[in-house]
Amino acid sequence: MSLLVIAHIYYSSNWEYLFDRLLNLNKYQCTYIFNLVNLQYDKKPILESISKNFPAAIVLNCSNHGRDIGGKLAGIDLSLKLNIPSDFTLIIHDKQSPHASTGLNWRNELFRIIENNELPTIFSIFEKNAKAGVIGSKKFLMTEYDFSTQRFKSFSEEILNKLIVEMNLKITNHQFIAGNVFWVRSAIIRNFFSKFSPLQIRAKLEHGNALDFHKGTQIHSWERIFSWLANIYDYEIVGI
Amino acid sequence: MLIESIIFSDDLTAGNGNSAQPASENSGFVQGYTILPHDENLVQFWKRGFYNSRSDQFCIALRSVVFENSFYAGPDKLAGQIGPLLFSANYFTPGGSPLIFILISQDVNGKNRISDEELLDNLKQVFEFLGFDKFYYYFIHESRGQILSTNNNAEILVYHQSQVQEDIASWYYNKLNTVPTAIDLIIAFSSLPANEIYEKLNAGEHQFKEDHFIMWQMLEKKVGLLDKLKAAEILKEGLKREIQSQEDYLSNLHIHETTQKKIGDFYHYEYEILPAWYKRLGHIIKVIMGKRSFRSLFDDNVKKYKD
Repeated sequence: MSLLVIAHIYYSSNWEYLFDRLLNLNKYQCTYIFNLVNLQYDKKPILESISKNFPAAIVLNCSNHGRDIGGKLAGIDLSLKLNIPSDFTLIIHDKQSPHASTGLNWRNELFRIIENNELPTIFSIFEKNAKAGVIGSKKFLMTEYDFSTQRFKSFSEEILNKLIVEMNLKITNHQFIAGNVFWVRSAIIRNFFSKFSPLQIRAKLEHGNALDFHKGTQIHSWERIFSWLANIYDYEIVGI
Repeated sequence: MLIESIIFSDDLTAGNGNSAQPASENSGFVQGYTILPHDENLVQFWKRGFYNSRSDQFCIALRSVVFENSFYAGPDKLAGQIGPLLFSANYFTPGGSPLIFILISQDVNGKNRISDEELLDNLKQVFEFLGFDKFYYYFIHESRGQILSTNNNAEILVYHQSQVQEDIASWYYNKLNTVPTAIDLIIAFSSLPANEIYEKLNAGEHQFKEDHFIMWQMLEKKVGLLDKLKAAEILKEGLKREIQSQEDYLSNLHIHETTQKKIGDFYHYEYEILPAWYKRLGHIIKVIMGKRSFRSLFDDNVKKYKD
């Protein structure tokens, strides 16, 4: 079994919390792609930590475009161009959510999927359930779609509908992992992003720290679509 | 070396791509590569650039032909090809923004095959596609090594093998003798291996140090201060973004749609606008129901609520 980690780092603090947990993956065959956002802070400490703990990691220094989704898409683009082999991919970022009073609890719950005690369970689910496509925190498995009205309860409804039509996505389960931290079968990522260029998608995302408090965004729409990829390819999204 | 140098000594388009090895670790210079994006060696180049030594910096030069109609397939295609290189943590980013060279070729009449305006416009679209706020460019005459246009105000010396008769070590020594503190960056184009070019530049600088020690010390001080300035500017930019981000979050506290505002409105309309006698009656009812202590109606210093 081989793993790919695509990790986006934006904040100058708290990356240690993520790194401490990513170390749990070092016992597996794992390729790391870290994206450190361009022009933000002194990167020396984090680069030193990457060299020490993840010596074979690929490090990107992307522009601050599309928030974590933009960084993750740049990582996916590179993984496809380098044809990095993997069975399962971890999509993750140094989540903080400064606007939410429960931001740290949210992060800790999402990061449960890289805790030592959960990893065997997750890989066992993938192994035993051939339909399991995406695995993430059950607590943040959400849906905003109302089947009775066929509408999204989201500021991003208009953008979501447009993207669904443009890409002709067939979705029967609109559940997504709020926070965009999850494991996914790499084949799903390869299939979808070989068809739709990650950099083309990234270019259409909002620049800088775009928020969805009062209007929809491409970024937050793609946060949902990332999870729907399982359903699009006839897989299930599993909460643990 | 005190002065930063970018050395172009390999050319992927000349079929040397597979032999082009990134400079050895901590080589001290920035390795320049001239590439054509559709070159089949580019994938190999990506692999070397990303998997090999993390500490070595590199940058790329594109031939202007890339932007000519017969080759240019739009900003998205070109961005897709060079994007992974520009995103690499090893890519040369003076002041935090990537720097790129465009080698300008001319037709038989000595005219540029593509106008500077068109070239710059296309280049801007590529960087915008990739989400960069800012980038630096140098348009350089391909055969003469002359800087034709740039948006970078750094003082640059260009060494082009075909234009300079003397050895690069002597050339650099003479330049240092003339304007030592007015050099920020050296760009060298040569067919010699990059390490060899770097050793020669190093030798020129070493000779200058021996002959003009005080001047060399001034130069060292200037370079040290410039490094600090660059680091401070990167930090300033990061802090500006952090402030903007905090302001965005804070502004959310005052807008109509938020939970906080809804709670505030609820409190105002359900309680605050009630007459004072009604509120006081409510407090008495709380005492009767055992939810509030009797003494707290008259004394602010006692425990108000029982749970």
